[in-house]
Amino acid sequence: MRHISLIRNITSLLLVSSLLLTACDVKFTPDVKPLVIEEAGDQPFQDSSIDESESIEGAGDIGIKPLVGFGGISSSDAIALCNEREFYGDNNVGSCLAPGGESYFVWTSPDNVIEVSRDSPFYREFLAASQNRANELGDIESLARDWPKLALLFGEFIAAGGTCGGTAAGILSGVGIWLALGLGGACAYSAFHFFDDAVDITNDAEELVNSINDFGRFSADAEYNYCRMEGFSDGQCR
Amino acid sequence: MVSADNLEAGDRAALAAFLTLGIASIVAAATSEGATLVLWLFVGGAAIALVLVGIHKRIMAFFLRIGGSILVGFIAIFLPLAAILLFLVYGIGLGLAFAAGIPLGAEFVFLLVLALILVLGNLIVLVANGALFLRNRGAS
Repeated sequence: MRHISLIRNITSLLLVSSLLLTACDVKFTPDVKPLVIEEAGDQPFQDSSIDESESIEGAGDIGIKPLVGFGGISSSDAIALCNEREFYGDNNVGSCLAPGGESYFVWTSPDNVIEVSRDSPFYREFLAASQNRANELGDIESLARDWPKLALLFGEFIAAGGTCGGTAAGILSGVGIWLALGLGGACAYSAFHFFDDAVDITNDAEELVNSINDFGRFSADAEYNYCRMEGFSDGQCR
Repeated sequence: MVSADNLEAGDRAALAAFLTLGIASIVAAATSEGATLVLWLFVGGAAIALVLVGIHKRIMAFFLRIGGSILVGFIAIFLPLAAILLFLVYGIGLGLAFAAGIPLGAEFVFLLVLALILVLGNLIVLVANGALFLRNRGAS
């Protein structure tokens, strides 16, 4: 009982002392040095020619919404969220109409999805590039799937080589006119189809190379417009 | 001796050509559908069956009889050469597409590997036949 009373007295004394101390005008001298923030020097990849107001003000003018925190969302998730409405492109580069219909989910890689206003002019450019890119990809896949043409061409080469060689040999060695005639007919038929298909395959090869180039160009266009939609300037995105 | 060597080289080239045609046709069947699929399976099966029963040797013997060793030698070089060029062009086309970062599916990796195997097989035949002809030329 005495102990409790003693503790109570000491506590009261401390309380009163602290109240008295706070009532007095105590001079406090801080022992901490003031924080000085130094100006950062030139950054290694900083483009000094970039006008900083260009990107930020430009972004405001064209109605780009700030990026929504879509960390972790994949393009597949975005497509599912959109319910495939206005889905263009593919899982790698594409876009779709976000729920609510006022913005689009846009991506240039499966795990890099942003949301932009549907009025963004860069979105229109991105859309055209991503659609063209998807078309070129379809063309490339279609051309690469033309393996049967290769098999056919090789078969025709064997047939043309065999029959035409046989015809020439038959005539030169005098094996027989009927054999030479038969082989000659087969030679003309197979040689015609061989050259016809060879021209086709040459055209396909040329088309494949063009499509590969166009695919690269449209992919770069899509990347550029995606970068602009992120709010970066022309110089930063090129 | 030259005729026998040319015939051996011609047999090798015809064997490689029929096997190439057989494999290419079966793969063509795998990428086709309907009646075309059946046709390719038939062509591929027939090419491999011809090799198994040794028809390619008879064909070369026939060419040797009517065209002599020059025709057979010509076939021995140009059959594998044509196969190499054809499938190499395909391989280069697909390789370019992959190198450009075009996201093609796994089936195209398989086709690329197959095309390169066919190129390699025919290249071995071409080198073997070429070496045989050079050896004969050196001996004569």
